[in-house]
Amino acid sequence: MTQAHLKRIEIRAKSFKTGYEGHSVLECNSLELTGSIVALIGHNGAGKSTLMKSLLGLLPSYSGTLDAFCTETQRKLIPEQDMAFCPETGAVFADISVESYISLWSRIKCGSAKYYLQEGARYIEELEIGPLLKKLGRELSKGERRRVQTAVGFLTTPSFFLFDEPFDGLDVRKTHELSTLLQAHQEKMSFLVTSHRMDVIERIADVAIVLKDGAVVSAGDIDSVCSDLAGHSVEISDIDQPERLYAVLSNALPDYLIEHIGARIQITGKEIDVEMVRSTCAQIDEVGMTFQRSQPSLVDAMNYHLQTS
Amino acid sequence: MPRFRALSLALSYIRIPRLFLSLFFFPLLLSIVLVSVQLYVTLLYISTTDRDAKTLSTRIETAKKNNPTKFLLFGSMEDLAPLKVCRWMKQDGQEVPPSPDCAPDRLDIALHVPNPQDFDVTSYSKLIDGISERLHVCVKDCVPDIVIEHGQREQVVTHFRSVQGGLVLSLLHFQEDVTEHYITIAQSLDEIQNHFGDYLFFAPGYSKPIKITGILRSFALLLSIASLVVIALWLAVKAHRKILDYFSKSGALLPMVAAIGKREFYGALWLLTLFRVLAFLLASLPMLLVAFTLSEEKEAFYELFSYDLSFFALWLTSLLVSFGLASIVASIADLKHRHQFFSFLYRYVPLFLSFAGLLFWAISFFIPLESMALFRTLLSALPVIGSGPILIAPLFPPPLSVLFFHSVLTILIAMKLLRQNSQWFAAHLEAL
Repeated sequence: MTQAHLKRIEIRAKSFKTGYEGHSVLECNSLELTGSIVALIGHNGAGKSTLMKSLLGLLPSYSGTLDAFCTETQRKLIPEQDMAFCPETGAVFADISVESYISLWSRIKCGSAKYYLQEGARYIEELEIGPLLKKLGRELSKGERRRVQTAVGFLTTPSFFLFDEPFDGLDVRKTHELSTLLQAHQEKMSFLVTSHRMDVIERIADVAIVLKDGAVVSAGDIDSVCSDLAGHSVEISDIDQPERLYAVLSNALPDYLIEHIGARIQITGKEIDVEMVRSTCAQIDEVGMTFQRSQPSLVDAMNYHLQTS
Repeated sequence: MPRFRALSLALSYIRIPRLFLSLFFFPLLLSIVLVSVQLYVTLLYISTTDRDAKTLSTRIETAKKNNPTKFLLFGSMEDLAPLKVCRWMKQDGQEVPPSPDCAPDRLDIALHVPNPQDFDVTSYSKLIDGISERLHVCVKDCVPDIVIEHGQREQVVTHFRSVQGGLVLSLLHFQEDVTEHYITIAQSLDEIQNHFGDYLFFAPGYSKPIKITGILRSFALLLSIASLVVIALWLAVKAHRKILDYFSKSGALLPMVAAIGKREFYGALWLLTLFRVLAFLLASLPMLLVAFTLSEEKEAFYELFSYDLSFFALWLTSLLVSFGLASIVASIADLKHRHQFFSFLYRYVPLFLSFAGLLFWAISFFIPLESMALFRTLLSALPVIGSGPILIAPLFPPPLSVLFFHSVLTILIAMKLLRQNSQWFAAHLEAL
């Protein structure tokens, strides 16, 4: 799938502030970001849900604006018309069947209670909802509830689908299936995904917004976000005594993220003085070590970011 | 068309059978039972407020003929056979009945006196004839469920050892000797009352005098109707909370509000609540009207509303919107401050305001100023604060325009409040 075929949205914020009971908990002075799968990442309490709820129009703006636009038409997206949302816990009424729940959504959003059996049937099939249709809401696991709400979101064919922690608690196979599903629908809709699973985010998202303590600290494509957060990485290989070198480097470079991966050591951080690293390494092993400068992964970048902040 | 969207949304929810049953059908059944009990109690109370001799005499006669207590005790509403007096005798140091047909029964009455053989029982015989089969007279050994003890210093005490015994004693009120006295007193009071006729209060600011005679009965009728509205709104507030809980527990609240729009969703929730109130009123109001028009209080009911259906309709509407706003204020305040220790007090704030309004309104009658009439009119037109005077409007009828303005102002404030609160609601979905 080429980038040109993807449905892309643009998130724009200008002097935006929002919060609860008059207390500002999220500030975003300036943001312009275009993407198809937008990752929203940050520590717990960073403001991810608040930003998501602001995009959904559920929180009042204390100042400025935060909106999403369709890049093709430059039309501002209206939450109730163009967006869908799937919460972390999924959703379905406990005492009615999944079928009744989906039928209710079909009636409300698609105009026909039978929509999920007609045009929307493919989503029921793709998300393997069929076997769940006759079950009551209370009989579903958290994962199943989330699948049901995901199917409901797809049924409403939004331009922008927001997911709160969709990969939380999923095993490898289910994570892969959901990732594939999102990527498969990028032509028709854009996604905003919050997650702590940086490995998955790095694989599927094209852009990311990083939040810290209610403020945007970085935003852009994944590579630029990684550089922005953590500068770059230096990977040292062909080490004779990796444990000893790891201990020495950890003492010598306390401000950097130093990881011992098998026989290699990786140092991540902003403005790493490679010469200084080389000289430190030389004290342990004068010859044979290889130094390679690289782009930090999102996992490392976030680790470094959270360690130093 | 956001309002119609909220309506279609509310209708969609009702079409879920389980939601319909738990939020509408069962509470409706329960509320109708409540209304029936409340109607019965009201009519019973009203019937006791008529104290003129003629009504009293009729009521006593009816009660004598159709006394459920008698049926419960004796299996028949008829009087028992004429009373047999059994004076117990001493035999081998013990008291025994004089004959086999004097063997004591539980519901007999015993008279413990120092001199059983020559004690004059004439007055007792007259009082209990027909409600007990035997009167046992002894010193201490005759012990049925009811014992009248004559002590040393002319002290008399009556003991009863079972509920049935107590019920037998309650029948004394309908014995000829007792009712005669009731009727005589009522006749004397009637004579005094006839010297003055009906009391009419010419209050400043009212176009016609207010009839004070029989006001208790009218007030009971009013309270009966008002309590319907209160029950309806109490159920509504409960329903509103229940609907919110239903959505929030399922996790569907946030996705639905996001997908539908906060105002539309919030509107749909209140519409569901309103449907429940309407369903309740549609079921209970006809019950109330039929009960009153078929009862002996038919005239009192018509008179209360001056035989004017439009006044009744306007009053009921004012009452409904007035208490409705109070419920909305209570519900929102309760929800917003639910984490505070004294949060439950918030729900009584509108009640307190209404009561304060009624108090000021009543006090104004003691202030001999022309402007007090205007004060009462303005106070009655105010939402929440004026709901007390609105409640008793059929007794102290303000101009129809006051009822109208009260209703309109209340509706406007309720709409503004709901509109404002939808924003708060959307921001706190996860906390609900």
